[in-house]
This record gives sequence, structure tokens and C-alpha cells, in this order.
Amino acid sequence: MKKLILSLIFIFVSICVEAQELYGYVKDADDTKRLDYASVVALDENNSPLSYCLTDKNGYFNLSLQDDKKVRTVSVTILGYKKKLLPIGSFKNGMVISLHPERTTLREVVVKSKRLMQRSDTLIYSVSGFRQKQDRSIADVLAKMPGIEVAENGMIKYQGKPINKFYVEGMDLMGGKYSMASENISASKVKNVEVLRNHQPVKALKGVQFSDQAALNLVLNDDAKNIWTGSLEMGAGGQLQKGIGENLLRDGRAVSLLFSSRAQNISMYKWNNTGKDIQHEIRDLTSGAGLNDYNFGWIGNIHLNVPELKQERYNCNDTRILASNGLIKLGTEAKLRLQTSFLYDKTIGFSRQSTTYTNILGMPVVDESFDARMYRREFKTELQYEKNADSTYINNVLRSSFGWNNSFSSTLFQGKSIRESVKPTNRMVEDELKLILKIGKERSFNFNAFLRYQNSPSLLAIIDSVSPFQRLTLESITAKMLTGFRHRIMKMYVSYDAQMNYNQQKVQTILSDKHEEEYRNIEFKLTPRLSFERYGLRTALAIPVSLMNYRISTGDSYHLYLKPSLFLGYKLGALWDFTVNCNRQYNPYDFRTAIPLIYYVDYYRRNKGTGTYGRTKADAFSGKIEYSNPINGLFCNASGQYLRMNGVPVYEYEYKDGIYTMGSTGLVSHNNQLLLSSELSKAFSLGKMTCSLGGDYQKSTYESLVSGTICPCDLRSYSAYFKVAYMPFASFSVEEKSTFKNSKMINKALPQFSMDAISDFKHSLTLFVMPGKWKFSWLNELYHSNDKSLKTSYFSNLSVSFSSKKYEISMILNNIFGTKEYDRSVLSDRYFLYSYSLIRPREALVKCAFYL
Amino acid sequence: MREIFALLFLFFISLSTTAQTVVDTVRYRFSYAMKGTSTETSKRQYDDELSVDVGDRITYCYSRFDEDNTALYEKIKKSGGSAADYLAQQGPISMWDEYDIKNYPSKGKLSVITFLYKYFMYEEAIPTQNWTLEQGDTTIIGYSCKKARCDFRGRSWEVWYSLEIPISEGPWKLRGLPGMILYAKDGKNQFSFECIGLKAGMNVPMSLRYAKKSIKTSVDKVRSLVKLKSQNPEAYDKAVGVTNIIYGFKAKSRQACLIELCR
Repeated sequence: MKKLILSLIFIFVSICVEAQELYGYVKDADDTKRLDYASVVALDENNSPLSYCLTDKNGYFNLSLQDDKKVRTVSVTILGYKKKLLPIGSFKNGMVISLHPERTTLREVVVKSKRLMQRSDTLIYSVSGFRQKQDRSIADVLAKMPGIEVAENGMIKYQGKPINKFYVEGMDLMGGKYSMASENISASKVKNVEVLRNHQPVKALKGVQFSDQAALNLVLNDDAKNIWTGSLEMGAGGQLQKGIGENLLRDGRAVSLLFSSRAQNISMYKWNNTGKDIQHEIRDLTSGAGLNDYNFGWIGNIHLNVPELKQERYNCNDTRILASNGLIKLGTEAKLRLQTSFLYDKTIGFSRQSTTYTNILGMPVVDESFDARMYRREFKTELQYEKNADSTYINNVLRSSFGWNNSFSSTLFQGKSIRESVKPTNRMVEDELKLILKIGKERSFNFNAFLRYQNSPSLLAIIDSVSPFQRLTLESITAKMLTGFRHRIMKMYVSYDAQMNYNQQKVQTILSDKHEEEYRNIEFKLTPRLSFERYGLRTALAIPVSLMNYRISTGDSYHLYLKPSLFLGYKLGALWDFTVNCNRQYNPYDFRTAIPLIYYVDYYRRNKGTGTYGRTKADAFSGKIEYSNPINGLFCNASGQYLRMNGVPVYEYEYKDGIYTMGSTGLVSHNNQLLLSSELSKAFSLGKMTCSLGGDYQKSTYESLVSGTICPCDLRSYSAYFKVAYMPFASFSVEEKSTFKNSKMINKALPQFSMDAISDFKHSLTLFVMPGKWKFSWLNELYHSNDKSLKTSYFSNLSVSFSSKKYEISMILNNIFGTKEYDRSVLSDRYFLYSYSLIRPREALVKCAFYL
Repeated sequence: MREIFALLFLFFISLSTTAQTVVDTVRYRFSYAMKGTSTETSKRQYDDELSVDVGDRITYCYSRFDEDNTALYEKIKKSGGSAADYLAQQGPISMWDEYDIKNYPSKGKLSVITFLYKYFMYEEAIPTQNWTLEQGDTTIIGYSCKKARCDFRGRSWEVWYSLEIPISEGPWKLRGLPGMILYAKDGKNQFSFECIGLKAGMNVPMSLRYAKKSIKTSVDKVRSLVKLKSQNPEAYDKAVGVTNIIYGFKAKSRQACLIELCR
């Protein structure tokens, strides 16, 4: 019996011993608190952990171990208490282990920052990582790099802001006209693209003034340096239908590039008659001073009312551009850069228009029919010297531009055949100086000066019975000086800009006799600016004070203006954002409005200015509410703007003997403008499909003088749009957009002068498929109106292209269904205009581009 | 006495900070050099520095790069600089857009904030990894470390932890070993965390910068947005409400590399 019990115990014990178990409790030695999350570790003879466990909220732990593991010590640790090491001999299951509180000190280790802070101001993108097979120019690859966007006109933005510099191998060859480089340098020649995010191109300002923008630098492959390289692109095609424009289509360019350590050069020749805009490559994309070619004179080439379509549909051009950019390094800190370009363009246009003047008694209608030829010949050059040293920065740019333009038209004016002719010429020279001196460690002094001289003579044929021509010459001198500084008031920084502007103009007209008028405007402006952000509220306040001396033929006058502006923004939670803006502006009449002369702006229209000083005062208030919730995919915003303007000159309009005159009466009135807009969009299944709905309402209240009576008028317009986009994959997308617009003008005093509402609709459907190296796109547009006299127009374009590393071939078919005409009506505060234009017919073009 | 001062200090700090949530006091800060991968076909990994702030109750893991940049931006805005002024001093940009807060909003819960144009937050129970202790010794930042391994949400993690640091925490969501995890690497070599610094005696308030600004959502929604960002950037922009990007091309579709392959 005893033996049986003993063996049973033996068996029982041996079963228990197969899996070892260690359990117990851990508590604070000073009180009865049980400690949770204490680490209990079973260590072997080498102090290696065999098993472990964390105590639960009752301080209880339960470790299980395999039998063959020999536990030597049990360690119990928790932060804030002294570590306890229990040899296995003194451990009993179920025991309560007490730990004594002790301030735990850990040995500190300072972070070694070498690999994390290096090159912290530069992001380097390797081109090979981003390039796809169909990318040819570096601009195509740039568009794919995160944070970088390339707009259609060639402007490059980083994180939403335009870049301020585009360097190649550290040298700034192109200045603001970098799209010539980005679109012509082959992607295979570039090794890396560096984004210089702290880009302060002026060394003297490093650490003192923060640049607004980032810059890009292209690092070339070794085989692209010190040799001339280039590219050639050629396209030819024809019109498949009789119509306006040339029968044979050409589109091509040849580019040559040279990059070496001391000099760089990019030269280009482009030719195109397919209607495309190739002028953007010679426009400055960094100055932000408007992307249109400036036309300083008051008289320009014949201006036909262009349809609301994309330029390629109606523009019958023949454009050639020759441009060259060269850079030489002078020493290590200075450089000299010369850019020249020459543009020749011949554009023809056919259109018919019928203008009803709604603010003249009798509502006269003027019918015109044009067969016009416009020529532009423009030459621009820019010479820059820049010295960029650590404590001094000097940058001087000398620019000049000359334009010899002229246009002719065989015009049917009110059924009578006349010959229009305009010859506007522009000559301009300007110089801009920027000087920055670094004073001490954190201060700098900066000074900008600018001087421009312009001379624009023009010759215009007119239907005046007294004289067949008008000669008008505008001469103008502009000078500016600017400096700025900052100081602290209480806890905020206030910054000041001090500015001096000088503008003097002289106009000489020769009609039947010679007249000369002068204008001068000198302004001193001081702008203190304050901004702060706290508790989710952002505000900015600026109060420019300006003192002006205004001189016109009637005499001198002095004026003091205060133009405050306030911005408030508030973010409520993650979903709502509110902003409010209000400001007041004073704008003295410019020379064109104030000149006491009569001058013609085109062959039958002339203006007469006020002859005295005047200014408009505008108070603007706007507010916006935005709701954006990516969880349910709902985004909406609503905004309102109210503008109240005083001092708007009132004009009297007259149409007599075929001549339309807009003459200033000396009276002033006020205008109100209200604009309300809202938009709602919803994204479904994570943005693969989105629907948007938007609308706006605009109402302008103004005063119009009709045969001696002041009439308050309202111009109201509504517009709405609906858009659906479906993009299940990145290589396939479909988008449909429909827009509706309705305008109406009401004359409250003389209702017979009111105009009926006109509505028009536009629909577009775009399909885009991009499998592998192929690209297909199909674009459809439909225009129609509730006015039965207007035609319904439908356009369709198809394009197919195939790209590989060395070349790209594409075939384009424009205007598949051969819609050759387009008409529309437009309502403004002064007239109702119906226009009819001829559109480019069905065309096919084959293009091939390759690198030399 | 010291505690009273610390409390008063905390009180005043919390008054002047801008809408940040102070939830705990930071006692220790562990700094990790992180390497991550954004897409499955990426040729390079990105670098980041993570701070793991250990408090009395809460452990907060976030990107140091992002925190430094945001603090700099706020300082510049407060002193009157414009929003764009800060580019010159901006440090390296963080590509790790995740903030992991353990034991928040309550003990036993993990809040994860992900930045996808806006801040999204989801909550889950603090995950437990089934660690297997292994043989091996090494030294990281002067502390002797032992090795462990586990499979966690689709990846196999190899970590080194130090018994000399009795904190059962680690970078990201890794935790639960008897010592601080000083090194972690996944089996596919796509993510790694290496401790490069330790600061003790900090006693500064732990504030969660983005907790109030975050939109509460589910983990599935966040995962699908992260995948969409790489797969169809244009649809992603529409889904999160980005409106001001001009697309003149079609972005390439890529597959996102997620640190949790499955859940």
C-alpha cells in the first residue's frame, strides 16, 4: 500500500515537472500596491532570458518553461523600483515579491546626427527612379516627382509654389524662361534633380531672410557635359477638309545645348502653324508679372473677338521663334548672362460680328465682317550681371524689347467696304538693380531700384471724315525704389516696406492737328504689416499709407490715402475652415482715363478722358466657409464677395456718322458687385468616382448715362456646372463636364433698354487610356444655346502616341467631324455682341521627335 | 516642493501652447534612426528620425523631423514671418506619416494618427506580439541587448532589447519585452529602427499635437487611403480633398509598401 502511494506521488510529481511553472505576485515594498507591467524574467546560468512575462493588474505573473531549461535566476524589474534578482533556490511559487522604490537613472546617449542632418536643405531625386519609358524631356520626368508639378504653360511648382530658380549644373542660364530648358533637355542626359528647399539664391541673405520659393538644379550625366547635344522634332500634316488656315501643316523644333564648367548655351528654333501656343517658352515664368506678352501702347494689333475655345481650334498662325541663351562665369562669384529671342508671327482671321450698343438711344447696331492679317515681329534681349558673395549681392538686369507689328483687314463696316490698318510699334528699355548688404549676423539691408523708358508710336487708319489716320505716340518713364525693415513691438514683429514710385507719361496725337498731353504721378508709400497666428486663428493686417502728387493738364494736386487690409482665418476642428477678408483700395485714374484728349482706339471707336484728377475708392468684403471630410468623401464650400466702388467715372456714349464715342462727363457714380458661389463634391469608393456640382450668382449694380438720363442698371448672371469623373486605374479615366450660363441686363430707368436673358451650355467628354507605352486620348466638346439663331457646335479630337526612350511618334486628328463655324453671344454692361467665327477644319498631323 | 513647481510649470505651459493636448509628462526620450520604404518597387529607402517619448502612462512615437519642422513653422509664424518664410530653415522632410500613442485615450488602447493630407485617427487595443526569445548578444548605444523575434501582422520582426532598460516599450507598435527594444528590423528589409540616443530626466509635458485636429475613422479606411495614394494619385487627391494640383500627365500607379501587411 505504502509503495503504491509512493509511486503515485512519484508519477504525479514527474508529470508536474515536465513543464516548469513559476508564478507569484509583485508588489510595492512601501505599501500594499500591486505592481502591474513589471517584467519577470527567468534567466539561465549565462544570464540569458529563457522566458518572461509581465505582471497583470493584480501584480500576478505566471511563467511557463520547457523542462530542459535550467533556470538559475528570476529577475523582477519595473521602472521606478530597484531591480530584484532571486536565485532559483529562494523562489517559491505563489510568493509575493516586494520591490523597493528607487529613482531609476539611465545612462544618457547623445544622438549622433551625422547621417540625418546631412544635406538637409536639398532633396535629391534620381531621374532613373522616376523616369518612365515615354518620358523624353526632363519636364516630363519632373512632373512625376513628388511635390513637383509642371503646368501646361511650363511653369514648375514645388509644393504648390512656383520655383524661383532653375539651375543646370549649378548655373542659372535660363532665368525665368526655364521652360525652354526643361522641355528641351532630354531626360537621358540628367542624372539627378536636386530640389533646393531653403533656396535663398542670394548668399548675403542666408539665415537672414527666408526665400519664398524652392529652386531646382539639374545634375547632368558625365557624357552630357562639355559637348554639344540637341534634339529635333518634326511634324507634318495637312487639312483633310477645305477651310481656313494653310493646307500644309508644319510643327517642329531644333534645339542645341552646351554645358561646360565655365559656359552654357541653349539655342532653339521653332516653327508652327497648327494653332498651338509656342510662345510660352520665351516668356518669363518666374516673375509672375503676367504671362501675356505685354502691349504697352494704347493701340494694339487688330483684335478679333475670339471664340471661347482652345486656341488650337481657331488660331490660324504661322509662328517662328529663334532664341538663344548664353552664360559665362566670371571668377567664382560673378556671372554674365545674355538672352535674346526673336518672334515672327502671321495670323489670319475671319469673323463676323454684330454689336448692339445698349446704352445709346435707338440701340444702334454695328455690323462688321473681317478678313484680317496680323503680323508680329518682336525682338527681346536681356543682359544680366550678378555678383553673389557672402556679404554682398549685386544683380543688375538690362532689358530691351522692340516690336514692329502691323495688321490689315478688308472689313465690311455697316455694309461698306473699308480697309483697316494698324501699325503699333513698341520700344522699351529697362534696368533693374538689386543690392543687398549683410550687416552683422542677423540683419541685412536691401535696396531695389527700377527704371524704364518706353516709346510707342502708332499709326491707325480711321473712318473720321477729317483725317484718314491717327498718329499716337506714347512716351513713358517709370522709376521705383524700394527698401524694407522689421522691428518688434511687444511680442509681435512688425515689418515695413518703404517705397517711392515715379511715373511720367506723355501722349502726342496727330489727327487733324497736333495735341500733346502730359501726366505725372509721384507716390511715397509706407506699409506696416502685422501678422500672427494663435489658438487656431490666423490674422494679417496691413495699413499702407501713401502720399501722392498727381499732375495732369489742369494742375497739381496732393493726396493722402490709407488703404487698410485685414485677413482672418479660423480652423474649427479638422473639418471646417473659415476665412474673412476686407480691404479698402484707392486707385487714382490712370492716364488713359484722365487724358483730356479724344483719341481713337480702333478704326471707328474713340475715347475721351475726364481731363481732371479722379480716384475710385473700393471697399471689398469677402468670406468663405469650407467643409472637407475625406471620411465620407464630402467636400463643400460657399463664398461671398461684396465690392462697393465709389468715384467710378460716368461716360456718355454716342454713335454718329459711323463713329462711336465714349466720352467722360465729369460725373461719378458708384457700383456694387455681389458674387456668391458654392460648390459641392462627393467622392465615392475612395475617389475612383467623383461628382461635383457648383453654381454662382453675380449681380453688378451700376449707373449708366443714356441720352442724358442717369439710369441705374443691373447686370445679373447665373452659372452652374456639373462634373463627373471616373478613374478606376491610373491609366484610364473618363470625365464629363457640363456648364450652363445665363446673363441678363436690366435698365431700371428705361426698361426698353433692358436686354433679354441669353443662356448657353457647354458639355465636354474626355477619355484617356494609357496602356504601357501607348497613349490614347479622345476629347469631345458640344456648345449650344437657348437662342435658336445660334448654331450648335460639336468638336472632337483624337490622338494616339507611342513613346520609347529614344523617340516618340504621335498621330493627331483634330476636329474629326469637321465643324467649321462657331457663333456665340455675349452680354456686357455696355453692349450685346453676337459673333461668328470660322474654325480650323479637319486636320491630321504626324509628329516624330528624337534626340541627337 | 519640486512636484508643485513641476505642476505649476506644466499648468502655465499648457495655457500658452496653442490648442495642444497635454496628456502626460515625458520622462525618457529614445531616438531612433528609421529606414522605411514607400512603395514595393522603390529602389531606395527613406531616412527619418523617430522619437519615442516614454511618460508615466503614455508612450508616444512620432517623427522628429516632422516635429522639428512644425515647431519651427509655428515659431516663424508667431514672430511675423510669412508662411513661406520657413523654407530656408526647414529641416529634412519626414516620410513616415504615422504617430502611435500607446495607452491613449485610456489604458490598454492604442491610438494611431496618420497624415494623409489631413490627420486621421483610429483606435485599437494595444497589440501584443508573441515574442520568441533567442540566443544572441550585442551592444546598442552602450547597452547590452538580447535578441527576440515575432511575426506581427504579416511581417517577421527581429529585434534586440536591453534588460538594462526596464521599460517594456519600443518603436512603432512593438512592445512587451522585458526591456526596451533598441533595434527592430523586418524580414523583408523594408523597415528598420535603430536606437541612436537616449535622454533621461526630461520632465517636459507630453502634448499630442494632432489629437484634436484628427478625424476619427477606422483602420480599414486609413489603409485603403494609403494604398490608393500610390495606386491612383489622382483619385486619392479627390478622395482627401486636394483641389489645387494641376495634372498635365497621368501619374504612374505603384503599390504602397505598408508596415502592416495584414491585420
